[in-house]
Amino acid sequence: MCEFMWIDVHVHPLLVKELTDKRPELLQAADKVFDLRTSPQPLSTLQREMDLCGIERAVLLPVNCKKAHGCEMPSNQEVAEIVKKDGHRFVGFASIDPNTREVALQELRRAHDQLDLKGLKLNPALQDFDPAGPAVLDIYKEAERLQMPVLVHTGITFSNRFSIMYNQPLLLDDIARKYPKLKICLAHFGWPWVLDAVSVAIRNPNVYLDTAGTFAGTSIESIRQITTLIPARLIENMLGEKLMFGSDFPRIEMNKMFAAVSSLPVRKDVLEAILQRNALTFLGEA
Amino acid sequence: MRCVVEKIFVKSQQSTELIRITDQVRRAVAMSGLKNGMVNVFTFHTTTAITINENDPKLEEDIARFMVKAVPEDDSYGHHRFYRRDGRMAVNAYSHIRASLLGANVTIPLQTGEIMLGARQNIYLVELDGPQTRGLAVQIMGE
Repeated sequence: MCEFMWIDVHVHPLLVKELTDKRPELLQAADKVFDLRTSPQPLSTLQREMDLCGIERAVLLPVNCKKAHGCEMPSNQEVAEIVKKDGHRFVGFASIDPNTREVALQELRRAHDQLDLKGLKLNPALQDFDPAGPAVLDIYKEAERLQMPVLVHTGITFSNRFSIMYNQPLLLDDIARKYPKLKICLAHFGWPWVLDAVSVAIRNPNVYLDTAGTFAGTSIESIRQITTLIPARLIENMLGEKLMFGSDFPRIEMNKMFAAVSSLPVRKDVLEAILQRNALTFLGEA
Repeated sequence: MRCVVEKIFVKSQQSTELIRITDQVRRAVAMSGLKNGMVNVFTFHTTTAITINENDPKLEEDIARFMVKAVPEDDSYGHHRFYRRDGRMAVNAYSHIRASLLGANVTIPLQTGEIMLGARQNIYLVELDGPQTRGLAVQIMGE
């Protein structure tokens, strides 16, 4: 593997010490809403993880749960500040709370125009909205206009305080068809609805998948389970331009997920597409 | 007898590595002002260890490599499940086991303000699930 050329499209800049020191309420949000209780680490830990894997850039994904839980994890401004510190290594996505309608649209435009954030992250379960419902259609339309790709959490959310009804990948099929120029990534392979996610990705040219932690075991066990459900030949022939490397850091260490994804039994050119080229296309850079 | 505790922090750079911390321990001892007694170096983490060994870089690599070989990553560990305490998958049983093999602390005699190490001895933080920033306690007991 070459050094410093890969892209991780799924990193949560949540338990970053520089942020939690300034705004300790992030720790409470991480615990009560994001359901993650590991110790904050300085940004340099993430940068070092990237170095170890040859990850050139990481896509930073916040989650705005203002209406549902009164918190931003972290805010778009905070994401933009991290990107400003190391613009060569980080790509910032925005998050807006679809339940706030017009406010959400304004924030999306601000994130794009003023904060230079490149995409949109949504988490239907945590944000408590129907990703196929009328409240969010204007958001998709605006993201499409602004050419901001959307990464949507699909699949399980382990905390049973939130409904996972809205995390089903099939809900995004109509959206993908309705907004054909909107690039959509179904995160976490949609696990355990993996085949549903694959079907949405295969039939819609604008839909991608990421490998971010599936909760199906360790990183290597997760990847093995994926390749049991989806034979390597199918990944090569039908998902070779769709699948992107995502770690889900800090819910899983980047180096563990990278080692697991690197062991996928697929052709070298397909693996390189998963680790880099597909992300470039998703981000509109290729 | 007095007892002083100093905290030190170490940034690891690899997933598994031995990091020399003797100089940091010496500084902590000097700050305590104590001259005679004993020094305990203790890690706060269950996926790191503290050990003393010969300060040869190749041996440091050998020990790290042995730990990786001795406790394989890809095995069927009961710890590996969704771990509600952390809110994430537990994926590092092998790191915990490696840490248990080495132990969480070492004790060194303190005499006339100096920790009594042999000429080839170095104190190491053993990172077993890095890279991370790690916290240690240096407890100096004496007078």
